[in-house]
Amino acid sequence: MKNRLLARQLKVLGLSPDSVPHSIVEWRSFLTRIEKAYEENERNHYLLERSLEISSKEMQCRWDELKQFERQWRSLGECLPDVVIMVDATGRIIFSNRGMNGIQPESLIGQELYACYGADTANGIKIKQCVERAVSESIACSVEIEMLDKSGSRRFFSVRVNPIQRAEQPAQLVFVQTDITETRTIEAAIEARRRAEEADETKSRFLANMSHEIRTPLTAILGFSEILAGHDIPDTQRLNILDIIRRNGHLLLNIINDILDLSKVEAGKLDIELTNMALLRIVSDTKALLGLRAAEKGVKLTITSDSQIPSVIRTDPLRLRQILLNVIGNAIKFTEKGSVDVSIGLIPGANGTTKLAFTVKDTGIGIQKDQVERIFAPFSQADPSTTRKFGGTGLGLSLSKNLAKLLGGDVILQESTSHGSVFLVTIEPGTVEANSAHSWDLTPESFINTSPGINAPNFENLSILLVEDSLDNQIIVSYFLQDTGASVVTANNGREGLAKALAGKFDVVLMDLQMPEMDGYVAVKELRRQGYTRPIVALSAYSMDEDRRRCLDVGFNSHLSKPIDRDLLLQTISRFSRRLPMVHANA
Amino acid sequence: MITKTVQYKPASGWLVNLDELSDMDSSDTVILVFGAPSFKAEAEVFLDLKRRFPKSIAFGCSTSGEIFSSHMSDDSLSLAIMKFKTTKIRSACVKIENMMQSFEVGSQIINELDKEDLRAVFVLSDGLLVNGSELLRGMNEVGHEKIITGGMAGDGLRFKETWVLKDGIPANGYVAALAFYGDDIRVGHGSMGGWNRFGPERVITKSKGNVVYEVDGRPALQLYKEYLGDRAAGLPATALLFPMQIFSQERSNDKLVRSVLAVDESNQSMTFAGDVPEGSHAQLMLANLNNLVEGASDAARKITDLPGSHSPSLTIAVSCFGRRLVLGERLDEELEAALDQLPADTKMVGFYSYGEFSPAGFTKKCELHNQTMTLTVISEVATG
Repeated sequence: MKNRLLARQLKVLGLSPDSVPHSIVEWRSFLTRIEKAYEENERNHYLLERSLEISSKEMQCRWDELKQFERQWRSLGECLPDVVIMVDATGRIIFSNRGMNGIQPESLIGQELYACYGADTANGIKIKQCVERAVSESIACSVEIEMLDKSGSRRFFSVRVNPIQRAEQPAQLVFVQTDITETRTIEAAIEARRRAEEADETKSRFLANMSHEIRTPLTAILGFSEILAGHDIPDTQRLNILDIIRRNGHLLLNIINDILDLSKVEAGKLDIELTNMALLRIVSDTKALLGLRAAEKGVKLTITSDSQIPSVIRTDPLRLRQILLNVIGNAIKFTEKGSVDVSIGLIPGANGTTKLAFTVKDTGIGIQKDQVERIFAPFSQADPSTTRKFGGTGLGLSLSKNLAKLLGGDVILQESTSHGSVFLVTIEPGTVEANSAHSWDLTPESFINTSPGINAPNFENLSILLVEDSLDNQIIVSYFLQDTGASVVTANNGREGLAKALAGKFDVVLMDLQMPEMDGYVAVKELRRQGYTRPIVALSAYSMDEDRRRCLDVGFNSHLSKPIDRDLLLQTISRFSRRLPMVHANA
Repeated sequence: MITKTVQYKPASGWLVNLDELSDMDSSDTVILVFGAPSFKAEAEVFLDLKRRFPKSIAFGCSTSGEIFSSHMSDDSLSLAIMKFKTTKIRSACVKIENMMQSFEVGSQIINELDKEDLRAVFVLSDGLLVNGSELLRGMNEVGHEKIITGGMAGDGLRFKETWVLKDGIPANGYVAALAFYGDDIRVGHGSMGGWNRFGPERVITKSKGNVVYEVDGRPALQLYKEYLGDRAAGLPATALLFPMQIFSQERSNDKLVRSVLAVDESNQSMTFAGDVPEGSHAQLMLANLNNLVEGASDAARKITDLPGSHSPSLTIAVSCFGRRLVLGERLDEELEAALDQLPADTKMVGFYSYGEFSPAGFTKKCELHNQTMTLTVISEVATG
């Protein structure tokens, strides 16, 4: 009996395959069960066949949908400007909508993805790191790379990596590579424009401030000049007025110098020239310049140093002097009585460096807490009313702070009470010779102004050519020179000056730069070309370092900034006339 | 533990003289009764049992086929009388008005049981008014360390009315729990299906609780009708030929089988014997008769805590009525296959149900199953 069901049914009915049923009832019952079993079997068979048929139809539908989906996806890929790539779990490309990095789409299939970027190149490594992160954290990641195109120009790309999770299988990856070069260019243009607008605004604000600062002393100068032009003014009062005019003239000059420096600092164009120099020299200069001012006010100025400071430092002496004059000068300015004490020492800076520190302590009016933040901002003093009382541009501290930063340090307000303030000036001492430590005894007497003031020297036998288009300046300079006995010939422009210089025998030529017909540069070049060897000194309202350098380059022997300082003018002439004849080193 | 199994058929009466079993009556005796739905109208039989076993706890429900040993009948009572030696027995019964109360009733019935020394709970619930998934969720919420097994009462293939014994009398709309206490009770369990998945994987696009409206955006009933062809006329019963396997995409281990309880032509929806969450994935299943029989055998092989062959035990078989529908003439085979795997003197009663309760998966929490053979083996270790 092979059929298990039939065997069971015979057993249920108590029949044996080998025996004939005893009764018709048993036989009928047996047939009924057999028939039922067949029916069930047929029904199950029907169900199976039907399931197979419907299921196949459904599978076909899904296959069609899948095909359609694939067509849509491919069409989408073709429309996209981006490169879309799919990579299997082993890192090989299984789909690409277009070529990439100069490789045709059909050649991309089967290729190692990293190889398309250069496996060991910076790009390849970046992509690899991005993929590793995307896979380990199951998140979309992106990275930016740059490549050269066929013409060799740089292009920027953003590469996004998105893992596709699959049930019980390692993730596949989708790569989308977008050319973002244009975007970068536009972003750069936007940023440039923003900066230009910002610079423009800064410039406008600067001009407005400058205009205001300049007008204030100018008002005094013009106003008092007007008064002076009147007739019945007693001599004593006349002298007072002249003093006011001169003071305001100097203030104006200071303002202009400070403004120029500050604008250069802000534009990042202030050059720092580091040289080795004796610290003592700067200290003594400062003391000499400020000592008198302090003495005039009855304020005691002392400068002390600790034993460890180097004797020689490497810094920009011009700028350091400027800072010290400013900060110490301020201290003197705001101290009515008492003292200004400056102590010099070394303090630890960041990262184990050492800074040279000048601590300036005064017994002045102090600075209110709410004004502390403003004192280092340009064009502002602690209190606008102080300008009226104490004068000044409000640029000094701002400029000093900026300059100190350029010298590797800073200017900070360390402490301020109603009994006085403490400013700390720090700079980088630079590399200096070892074991140079010592201290000085800086008594006030040893630093009395030693700068050589020239009180009306005798230039009787000197002949000077003054080339200057401004009649006023001709008059002033001529006056300064004739007062010393020198003979002065004037010329109104470069051309005239050139002719007169070649024709006459002058000890010194003073030449303006900006002139009609022929400017000073051209004239000097021409003079030097024709073999003129006498000293020529530039007189110019251009006072920047680069102007000075340009003058020397074209053949001037020296450069004096306008407004012309009488003493400096006479010193310079004295220097060049004594060395006559002067051979210029210009090749 | 002493166990006797007894069968009653209207035509032939009790197959054993009940008078001889009167000494089985005690406060720790359970009279387990699985009966044809029609017995609801014949209270006299139950009153007779109450008179004979006044101290015992009567516990049972209506069926879609009564299992007695390796045979199945449609018009009988299948009884097991268990008298425990040391194990204490308690029962609880809670009324349920509608499916929405399923979760609450589940929690309530466990809470009504004394928790101390509680080892296992066997639950029988109304087969039509209860959402089995929610009922078990409610039970797990308050008693998840206990072994919970059982099933949902059946009504043949009619889906009209089921009953559960309340105070020994059949009653509609109840959930009943039988609780076993003490260190000596052993309750083992095993559950297996044996169906094969086929056809495409589908997504349940619209469903609410255990009612499925759309599969892959198509009306659920339309899908079934297509597969059933001529046999769609036999809905909802014939829908049992295609149970559905439900799984979430992420946790492919957590698979449950759901069979159809009812269909609604008006909105083309289908009601399943357990929740089918919207967004879950599904695949139709089809029976391979040999696999079903093998499944029953596997269920027995997988039973945990199986007593030694010489200790007396009772096996309660709860098999899905969907299996009965498919197995047809070969039904007894699955009962034989299960019994073959159990110790030689094992006594077995049980029923074809509208849903099986058994711990499943890694959580070991009791879950609602469909289309399985679920076996519960009760024994008591001999103590001096």
